Amino acid sequence: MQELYLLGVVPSRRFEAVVNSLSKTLDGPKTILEFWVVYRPKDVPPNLPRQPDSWLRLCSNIESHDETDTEWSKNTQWSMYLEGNSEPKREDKCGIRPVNRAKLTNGSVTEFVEKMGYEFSHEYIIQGLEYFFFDTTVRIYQTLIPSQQRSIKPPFHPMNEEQPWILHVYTHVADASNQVAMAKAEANLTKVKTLLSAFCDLKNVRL
Amino acid sequence: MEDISTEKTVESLEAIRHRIAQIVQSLTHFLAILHQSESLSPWPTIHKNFNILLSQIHSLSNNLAAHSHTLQTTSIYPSLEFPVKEQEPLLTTLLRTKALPEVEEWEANTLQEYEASISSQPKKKEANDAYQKDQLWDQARIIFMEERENYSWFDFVTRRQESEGEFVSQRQLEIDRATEEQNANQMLTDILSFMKSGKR
Repeated sequence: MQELYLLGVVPSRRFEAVVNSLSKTLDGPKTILEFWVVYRPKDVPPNLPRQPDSWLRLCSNIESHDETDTEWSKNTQWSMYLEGNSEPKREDKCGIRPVNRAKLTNGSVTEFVEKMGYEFSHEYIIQGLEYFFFDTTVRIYQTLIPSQQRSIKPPFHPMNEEQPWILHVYTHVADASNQVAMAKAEANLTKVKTLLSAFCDLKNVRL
Repeated sequence: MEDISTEKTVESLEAIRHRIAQIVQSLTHFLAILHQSESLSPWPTIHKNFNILLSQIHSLSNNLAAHSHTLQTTSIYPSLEFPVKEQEPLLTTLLRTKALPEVEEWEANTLQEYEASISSQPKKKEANDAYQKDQLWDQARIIFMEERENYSWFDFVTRRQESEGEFVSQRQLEIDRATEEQNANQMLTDILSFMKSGKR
């Protein structure tokens, strides 16, 4: 599956204004509060790649804070992601990168990834809002750090004192060889970019 | 003749609907621009979008006037194939010929007030009307001047913001915004790098 995307940045000072505009222009919003854990391969031989595009990313929604961290980790629905690198030389167009997603239906996710030969790298929380424009998703979020490892209890700490909000616009195409579908998806992104150009400049940022 | 009349009626309604949709779209875009930041948007941008809105409203007004006879003489009734039971609330609304109770009450009160004003002061009516109009124009002029003083049409901010020392000039504001955007873009790169590889 290919992800076609555009990224923008919104200073904290303008967050409320941008959200008001998004709410008037797009469908939504839907609240986002996601916990992300990233695992990297361990004991990698020197001749094999160590790039983050081969790392495993686990994601789950934080829907309540009533459970303990351990209970939540066991009961919540985890999804596993693989996110490849962006295609080069697409400065004036939208970014494209391969992504894969799978739901983990049973068992301990920690044991699963460790048995596959991965070790913990880092974790973060994404908090924000999600909007929709036909089959295009628009997310405005901040990246936060848990107060303790694998803890879903607030407070969550920003990475910077005046951390901006990230505006992520994306759509997915299952078959990259389908040129018609790819062109249509890119056209939709361009429409959204034009629609949001009044309050945010969306760009192709390499991921 | 009946088919031609029906087609004209449909064309009239479709034309009006299209113009209203345009106005809604323009209003949405205009609101997005106004809410873009805490500061007032540039005057040329506001002027341009306001002119577009005025043009569209003018077009709608002309269209309504041009089709006034058609609209006044059009009667709505369901066809035989219409799902009457399912759309009963809609039919009730569309086929209503009697005014709402609130409207009837408002109309009655207005007539009473009008009749009372005529009987009490028949001779001084014209003088009072002229005086009230003058007062109204004076108030409108004062409000307009007060509102105009709240804005600086040569800058990106209101005069009040300027007097409060929030911004020095347009040039300084542009510099501040460019710096802010540059800092935000650098932070974006750092945040994305952390999300991808954990490096801070």
